[in-house]
Amino acid sequence: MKLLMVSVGRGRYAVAADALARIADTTSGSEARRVGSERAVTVHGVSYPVVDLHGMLGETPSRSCVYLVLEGKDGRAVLPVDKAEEIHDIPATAIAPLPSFIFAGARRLFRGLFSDGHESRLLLDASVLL
Amino acid sequence: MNGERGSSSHLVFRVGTAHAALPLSLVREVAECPPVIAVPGSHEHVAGVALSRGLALPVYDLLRFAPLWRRGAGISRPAKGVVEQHLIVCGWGEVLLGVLGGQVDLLDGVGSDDGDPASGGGEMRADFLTGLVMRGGDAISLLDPARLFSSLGVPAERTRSAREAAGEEDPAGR
Repeated sequence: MKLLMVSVGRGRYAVAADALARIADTTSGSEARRVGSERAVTVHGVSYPVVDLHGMLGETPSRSCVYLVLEGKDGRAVLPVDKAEEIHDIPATAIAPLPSFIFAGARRLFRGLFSDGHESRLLLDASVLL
Repeated sequence: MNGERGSSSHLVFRVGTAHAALPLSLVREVAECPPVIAVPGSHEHVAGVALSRGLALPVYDLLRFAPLWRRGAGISRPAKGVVEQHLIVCGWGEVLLGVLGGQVDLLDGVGSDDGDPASGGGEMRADFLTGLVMRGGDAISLLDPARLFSSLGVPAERTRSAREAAGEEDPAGR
């Protein structure tokens, strides 16, 4: 499966590429901007709710976030990440499921753990984020 | 087991400034600690997960597991850089799990009547121990794996059919 490698604070994660509808950055002249309370982002004139992954992970967002527009069954939302890197093709068999008993609550943000060839990364579960 | 009646071998390791031991029969591997990836949303005492032979091995930091320690026990970590951390991989039923520890050593010939964990002298709570052994002035707490692992949230051994009946799914979507 094709995975987009991303950084959020100190953590290294990945998002399934098939959940991505669009990627936008916040550099000057871009078509992405925060709206009002920052709980929404406008990308190319369309407003999307923001998934505050930084808040969930206890991280502080950098000034120049990259906005990932995620698409799922229940609609679209924007996931700000600090950096979007390359896309890797990782076999599904190389993604190790996380033991369910390590989690403190029912909401599990991650689908598994894999190696990108250099380091281990957690695969975010886009369906839980949306 | 070392073959002596009523005695067994243990793997001793340091946890912060304390010394603990687990039955050697549970230990599958002791290795230099690989990169441990923190998992947001996991229990406080879960240091993270480590990729090990294709598995996401849960890694536990007993220092973070407050119920294990006596009130007022000195459970601080030694100075940074002093401790060489190891990963002690244990098998518990069908589950593999890692425990962080330093200064790993063997302890042979521990009898079932060695030491009274309630007698004090150790930094860990007696109800998590099967015994307490003194060696070279150090109190070694013999951990009760059933009590410890169940308290950490590690499931007890179950049959495959029981897991299937419970409808467990593969979080990786396989």
